[in-house]
Amino acid sequence: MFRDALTLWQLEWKRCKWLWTGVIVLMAAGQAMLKLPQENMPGFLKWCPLGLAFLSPLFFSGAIASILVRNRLPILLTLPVKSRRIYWIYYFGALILCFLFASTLCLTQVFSFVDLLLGVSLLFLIHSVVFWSALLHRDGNTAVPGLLMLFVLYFAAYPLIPFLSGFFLALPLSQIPWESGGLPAFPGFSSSLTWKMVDWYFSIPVIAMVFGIVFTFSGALLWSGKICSGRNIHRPVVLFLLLLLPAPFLLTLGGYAALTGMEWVFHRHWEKRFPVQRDSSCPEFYKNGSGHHSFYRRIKGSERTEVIPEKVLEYSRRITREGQNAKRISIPSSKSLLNIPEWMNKQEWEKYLFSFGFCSGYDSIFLEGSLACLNRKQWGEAEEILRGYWDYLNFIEPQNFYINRRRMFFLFLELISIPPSSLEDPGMLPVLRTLLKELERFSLIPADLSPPYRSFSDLFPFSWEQDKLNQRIRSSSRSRFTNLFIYSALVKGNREIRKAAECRTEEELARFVKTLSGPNALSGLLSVRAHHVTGCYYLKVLGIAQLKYWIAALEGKKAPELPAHLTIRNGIVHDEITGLYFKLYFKERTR
Amino acid sequence: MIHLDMASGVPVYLQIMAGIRAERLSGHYRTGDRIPPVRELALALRINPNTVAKAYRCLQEEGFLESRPGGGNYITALPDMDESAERETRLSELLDSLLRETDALRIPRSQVEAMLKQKLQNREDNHVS
Amino acid sequence: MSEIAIEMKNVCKHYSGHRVLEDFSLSVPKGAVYALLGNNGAGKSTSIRIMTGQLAADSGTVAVLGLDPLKNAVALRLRMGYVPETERLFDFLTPTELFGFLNHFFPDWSMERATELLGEFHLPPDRKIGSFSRGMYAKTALITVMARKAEVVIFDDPVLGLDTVSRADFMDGLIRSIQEYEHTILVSSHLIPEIEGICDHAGILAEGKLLYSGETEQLKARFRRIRIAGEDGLLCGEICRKSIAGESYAVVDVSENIELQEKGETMNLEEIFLALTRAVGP
Repeated sequence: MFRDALTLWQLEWKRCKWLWTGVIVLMAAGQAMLKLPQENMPGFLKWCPLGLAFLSPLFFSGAIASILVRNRLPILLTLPVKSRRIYWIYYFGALILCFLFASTLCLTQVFSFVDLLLGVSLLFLIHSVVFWSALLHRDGNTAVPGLLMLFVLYFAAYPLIPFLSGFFLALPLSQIPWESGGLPAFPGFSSSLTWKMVDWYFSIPVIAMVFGIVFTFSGALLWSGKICSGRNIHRPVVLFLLLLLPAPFLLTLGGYAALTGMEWVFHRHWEKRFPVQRDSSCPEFYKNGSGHHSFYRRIKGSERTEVIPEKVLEYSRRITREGQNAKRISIPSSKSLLNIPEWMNKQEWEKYLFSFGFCSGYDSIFLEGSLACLNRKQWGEAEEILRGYWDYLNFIEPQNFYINRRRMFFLFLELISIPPSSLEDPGMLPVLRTLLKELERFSLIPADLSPPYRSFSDLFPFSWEQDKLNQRIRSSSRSRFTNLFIYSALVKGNREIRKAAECRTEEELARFVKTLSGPNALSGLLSVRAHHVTGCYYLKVLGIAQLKYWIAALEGKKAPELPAHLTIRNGIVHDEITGLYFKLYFKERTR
Repeated sequence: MIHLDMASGVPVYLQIMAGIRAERLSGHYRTGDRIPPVRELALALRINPNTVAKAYRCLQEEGFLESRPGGGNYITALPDMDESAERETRLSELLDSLLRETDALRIPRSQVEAMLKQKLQNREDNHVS
Repeated sequence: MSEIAIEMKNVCKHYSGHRVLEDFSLSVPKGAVYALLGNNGAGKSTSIRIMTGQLAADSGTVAVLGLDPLKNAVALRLRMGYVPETERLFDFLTPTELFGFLNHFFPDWSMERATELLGEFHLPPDRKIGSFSRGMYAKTALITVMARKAEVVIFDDPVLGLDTVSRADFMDGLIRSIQEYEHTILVSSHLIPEIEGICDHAGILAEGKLLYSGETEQLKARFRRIRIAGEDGLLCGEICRKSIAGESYAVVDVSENIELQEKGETMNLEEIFLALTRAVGP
């Protein structure tokens, strides 16, 4: 095949030697001109190379395809070469030329990878469509019908683009073991721009590639089945177009219907197996009119806010005092119980962790309050706030996995945020002891991830406004895709959690965790994809051991008995099985 | 030289055979002469070499030609009796053809006979003188 | 293995309602030199294109060397040579380059034979074919099929527009090729006297129908021109009637009228062709 290709390409080169040479010279001249000082050059000359690169696919595709179909036909048909092979040889010849010429652009401009991807896919599509339409025309201007076809294709694919974008947006979020939050913004870009970028850098290249492949193969079939044996092509072409153009729209509809159907089926299945979160009830005073913002005040001379520990303390005491018997209110499950910190990317996590300047959710007030007290060495107050938080969670009924997860999260954050200097003060003991008690009490049960409350109100995202419609399609398809990923992640997560819950000893748990996490699990713990089991392991194995060590050190006793696989090095607990170790993240500013 | 008449309705190979026989009779070819190879004759006459080959084959079967080990076709020695029989056949053909023509032109037989005698006489006289 | 080189049975082909070939059946025995005769628009080129696999017949079967020209195209093309109507197809190559190109694709190609033939035909090996005269081009085309000993060779009007000398040269080349190796030739042409000598089979095509297909000798034996009086009724087996210089003649198919077998005169191929096609035509 390759040798046949070379021979035929050589033939074509000999046929139009001057033409190809002339075009190459033109392109090279264009590139050279870009390097010349440009002050005195008329504007259009600067754009020559770009224009040529843009036009080159039209030129090569159209020219080579029309060479194929014009009166050169008989000689190619007398050669003992399959007509299909001839098609591919000429097709790829034209494609290589297109890319060769377009790539000369890269000599003078620098394109990012995604721009290149977009360019390559669009070039491929243009080439395929122009080649295809040139095959059908025996003479005349072959590029024009191709260009018109491109416009038609764009409009045909219009609904498919946001639908596919939803898929691509759902992919990163598919790593989350529970429901997704808002759109992760590309750093520095607004949300609407993010949508557009996903459209242009993901969906459109994919769709362009697929259309390109469809046209390529359609051309091959038309060529070897019809054109080479002189059969009429009008019917097949019309049929092809009639099938192709509505296809994206139908695909979008069908895909959406299929996804929704699958989601519904999964949800039904999970509803039966595991209880969906029901509405909960909690003490009435949880319903704070002004929300958690009232616990913060603005730092003088800055945009940031800091927590008011006194208010938090007062609130904690109230919970402990009244929470058991307070009048209860009902909270719909779709709302505040899942009030986990709003979705952030890694950078924002770090901000949250180290500066506490980010306020959201009730969890954070307790965390920040207790840490503020620790910083002021108000040990008793810190301990009270901690106890208040446990009660805060305990008084919510019914308990479910997500509440447990909040406990875990909180414990984890609390643990790693302990200021190292406070570890030398015996007043810290009550805090440490409370923490230890809670750690020992913590369990993964209730274990099962259950499908979150699912509202199907976003199923039918129609709007008459164009942009709104695209937006709605995108977000709706994204949530459909995400939900499917979520269900599969739920299965995996539940399996792991159940296995972890079966572990009787720390060593078993450590071994199990080793199978899950790699050597970088520690960084994974901080990420948004924090694994339930790994988190639990961190608390129960490393955390408890470390606390016991610190408590023994403060009490002046000798180091406690630890399970065999744990060792202390430089005051830090290390696990020989998993290779993980306890780590304090909070860096004191004065050091 | 052999002339072919495409309109005569006579198969070409027969015409070739007749032509070679005629050449033999006229003395153009003598016993032991090599006749032109197939290709040459075909090129000269602008006909299919296979036809020439067929003619040669038939002549070989009749014994008129023989092929020799080095290649080529050669006139065989015909017994005089065959030669005269050949001549007779040829004369008969020519006369048949003549009579067909004269009949078609409605020339009376007596006139034919008279003119034939006269012409033969003229030739005798010219030959003698 | 069958003795038929080219066989077309009941082939029909029409272009946008206009019937080009109708119930067309042709049979060319192996080793024959077949002349396909017909006026412009009779369907010669179409039938040749169907034979060579460039066109699909609407109905009927086609078999060349037992192979379907569309389904077994590659296998057939290795054994078949096709010289289309004189179009300038390889202007930009020299004969040597062309032969190198063909050498790549045809395993049977013999470069030595091709170079020999170039010499025999007195063609310059290193001049671009675009500068050749028509006659030279026709001879080059002949070499492309001779050098690889194609079993079936189909010429679509090879001597069209050639001057006398070139025509003679081309026919010479054809004769040489026939003698060189056994193959089947199908030639379509308008110049009947030129090819009359060389072909042993003929097919006469008019209005998409094959009026006669078979050996030329049988064809010539079958039709006679008989002089008749102008008012005579239709003779049995009469094909057509015409007047030449005041005399009326009828062309008769004597296979249908045995009595007339010795009467009248025989005709050459061109005359038979004209008689048959005029009878059918407008």
